[in-house]
Amino acid sequence: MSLPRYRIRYSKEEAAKFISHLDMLRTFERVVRRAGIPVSFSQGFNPHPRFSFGFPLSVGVSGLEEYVDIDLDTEVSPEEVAQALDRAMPPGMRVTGARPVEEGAPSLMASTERSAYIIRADRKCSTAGAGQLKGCLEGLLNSEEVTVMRRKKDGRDIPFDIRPGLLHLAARDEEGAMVLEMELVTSSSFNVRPQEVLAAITGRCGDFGEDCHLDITRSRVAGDGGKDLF
Amino acid sequence: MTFAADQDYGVKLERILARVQKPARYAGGELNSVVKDWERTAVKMAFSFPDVYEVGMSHLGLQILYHTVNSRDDALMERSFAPWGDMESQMRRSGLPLLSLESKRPLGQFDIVAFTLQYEMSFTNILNMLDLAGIPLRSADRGEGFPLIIAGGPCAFNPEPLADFIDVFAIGEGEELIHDIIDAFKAGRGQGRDSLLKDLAGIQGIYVPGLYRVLYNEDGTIQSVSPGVEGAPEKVRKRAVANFDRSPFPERPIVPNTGVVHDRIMLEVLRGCTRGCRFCQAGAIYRPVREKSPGTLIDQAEKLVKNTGYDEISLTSLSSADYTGIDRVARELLDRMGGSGVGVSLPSLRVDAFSVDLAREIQRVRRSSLTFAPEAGTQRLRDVINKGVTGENLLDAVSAAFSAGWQAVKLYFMIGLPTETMEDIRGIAGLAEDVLKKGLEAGAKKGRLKVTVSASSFVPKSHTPFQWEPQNTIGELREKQIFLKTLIRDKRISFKWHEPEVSILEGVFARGDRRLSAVLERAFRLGCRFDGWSECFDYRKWLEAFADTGIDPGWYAHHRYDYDHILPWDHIESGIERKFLVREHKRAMEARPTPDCRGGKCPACGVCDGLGINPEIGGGVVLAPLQDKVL
Repeated sequence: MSLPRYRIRYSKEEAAKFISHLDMLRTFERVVRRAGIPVSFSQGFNPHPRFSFGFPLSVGVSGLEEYVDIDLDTEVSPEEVAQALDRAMPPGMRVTGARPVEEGAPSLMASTERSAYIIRADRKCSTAGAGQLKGCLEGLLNSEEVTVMRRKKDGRDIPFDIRPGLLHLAARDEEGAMVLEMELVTSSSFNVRPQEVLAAITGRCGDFGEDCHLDITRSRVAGDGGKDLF
Repeated sequence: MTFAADQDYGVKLERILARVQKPARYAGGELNSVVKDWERTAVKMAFSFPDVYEVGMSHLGLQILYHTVNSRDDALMERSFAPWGDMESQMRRSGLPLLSLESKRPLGQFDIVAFTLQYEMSFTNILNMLDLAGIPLRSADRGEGFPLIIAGGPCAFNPEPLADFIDVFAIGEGEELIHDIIDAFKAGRGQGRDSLLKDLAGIQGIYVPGLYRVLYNEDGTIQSVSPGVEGAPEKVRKRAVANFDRSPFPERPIVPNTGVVHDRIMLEVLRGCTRGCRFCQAGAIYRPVREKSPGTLIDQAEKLVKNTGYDEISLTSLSSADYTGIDRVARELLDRMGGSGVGVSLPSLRVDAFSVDLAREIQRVRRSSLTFAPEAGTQRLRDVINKGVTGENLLDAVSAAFSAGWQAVKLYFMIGLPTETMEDIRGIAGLAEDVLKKGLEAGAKKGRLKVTVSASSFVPKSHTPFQWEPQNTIGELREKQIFLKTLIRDKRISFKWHEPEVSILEGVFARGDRRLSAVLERAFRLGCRFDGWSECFDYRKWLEAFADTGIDPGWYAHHRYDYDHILPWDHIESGIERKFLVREHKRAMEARPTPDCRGGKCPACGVCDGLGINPEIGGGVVLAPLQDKVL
């Protein structure tokens, strides 16, 4: 008999968006202790609660629908779990739901296939209007190959084709900013970051590099074909 | 109007944070941080820590004062930290002033900016923080409209090197003094800066350096220090809290969003230390010793776990193993919390088997090595410094550690101590070998057994029996380090040392006078920052700063003062009587130890009588035989 597992849906905004993925584990360990829910600890010399996160959110990027799976020692109603966790979250983070995960279901990481992003780019980044920007983005979708430089762990930059990871790209104008919407592949075997898409249109539709301020929000994380993870 | 401006600062900060390492350092928004209604709060204070966030947030004093001030309805306290180099250059490039973490307001908008002085090598960061806030560095250049700049903490016990920059020093413990400062600020509001400074100078524990005149002799020593206005006392006596058990303690400390140096509950079990090590300033300035009651500790621990979610409670103090019945309290805490996966730890171990047994029993999370501080290599020198530890104590302790399963032991020593000879250096290597032998005897695994010898350099500190003593020169320290290195041949013993240049500068500022303000400012202008960080420390810039200001650092570091000299900090009183320090210095020169007053024999340091505060031992049981004043 395996332990009851719960999938927690949460948001991470404001100052909390600067909590790194590494620090999230520590943050959740403290959240569950403050919440007082019967979380299950790993065996061994230095026991830790059992958490499993989905595809990491970059530091500085807000997330509206993030997930973590937590194992408990005993069954508790999902509403109770959600409420207790929400009360214990640090500022900028809210729990928006909890549901039991059926036994044998694939892990969060294995279930995650795509992420939707909303990017607000400063006017200074590009003089192109939404129309021209759309044209640039369509250009990417019509290409066979979209190559950007990607930094490897050893510090080398190598060319990398992001085209297979571009699912949907759109642009619109908003007061004082341009809004880009992207749906990108973020699975454990292949992923594309929104900054890489912007790097691909830099030069053609503006300069989204160093001096361009981007406000990035991951609005949704989904499974195969856009299937809801919750 | 101001609201729009503050929004701008927030937006500007947000843009910068995308370009710096570890943005969580500057973002604020942590659990239990307090953001009050700015317009409706009478007195606005900023606690400014002159080092990075990860160091500052590990400081219990910050949490205590933050809690103390924010508990008042009429005052608020926000935080600011020294920005790391990448952040500083982004701020300067975009013209963003230094902001508080809570409301993202520039420090210049606060009524009071309070720095904590934990370490001499953070002084240039104070100047940098003022500069980044657009606040003139020198007190004399700050007219009405600028915040009152105050500073406290251990280095305030010799405040003189910072005298030109700081308006008001707070000497001693801040829990009560900070209320007095806020009250005086409220009462004196609108009556001008000079009037406020005079009012503050009348409060016990407050030192307003601008009100004192220092005259020098031709040989560079001090002729006199005298208050220039009525009401400023000849001597400023430190503050200490009585009834420590009931003194304010933060039960909802801020929980950082990113890893910090001490990332756990810091439960202060006692304050002060009576061991009387003659080199130790903390042992001198935090007297008398006061313990919290077991009931208070357990109550606070339970609340802290609930309010923070931390999984570790560190029982902190200068010497936690000295807490009366530490084993009972630690066990009780484990019994109550162990079920929820919460552990208990001791930050440092006394050099004896009791401490090791205690550590073995309570520490759920095993540190890979145990650390002991015998400080000196021979019994003669340990008696000189009054360490109160024998070679046998050390060998018992490490034997207990090895048989409990630890494979690695760290030993802390100091070199350059008064009266030290090469025989004492040889003793360090000998002790390390004896410790290694104990490890082999106890059957520690080959290949895992490790003894680390860490040797720092002695820095004479104000208010200690060694305050008159000269510091070794860089050449002498280097020679001793090299000698020790050649003596340590076994590969299982590793040797670590401190750069003597840093130690010398620590010594210069630890015993310096107010002429050094010019050097600090010059060093800051030359780009000195984070001088305690080896990757930032630039000794050549410092030498340039001394040369530019015509000041010889060697004179400060290597000067031997006579008992009848006026010392730069003589007008600041720790409560320890000068005659006690003289007696202790003489006993040191004769290698005569002085016993701990916990044993019942009062060595008459003068603190209890002088401050009117008795030791608080075992939760309210006061040491009785204080009448026995003659050793």
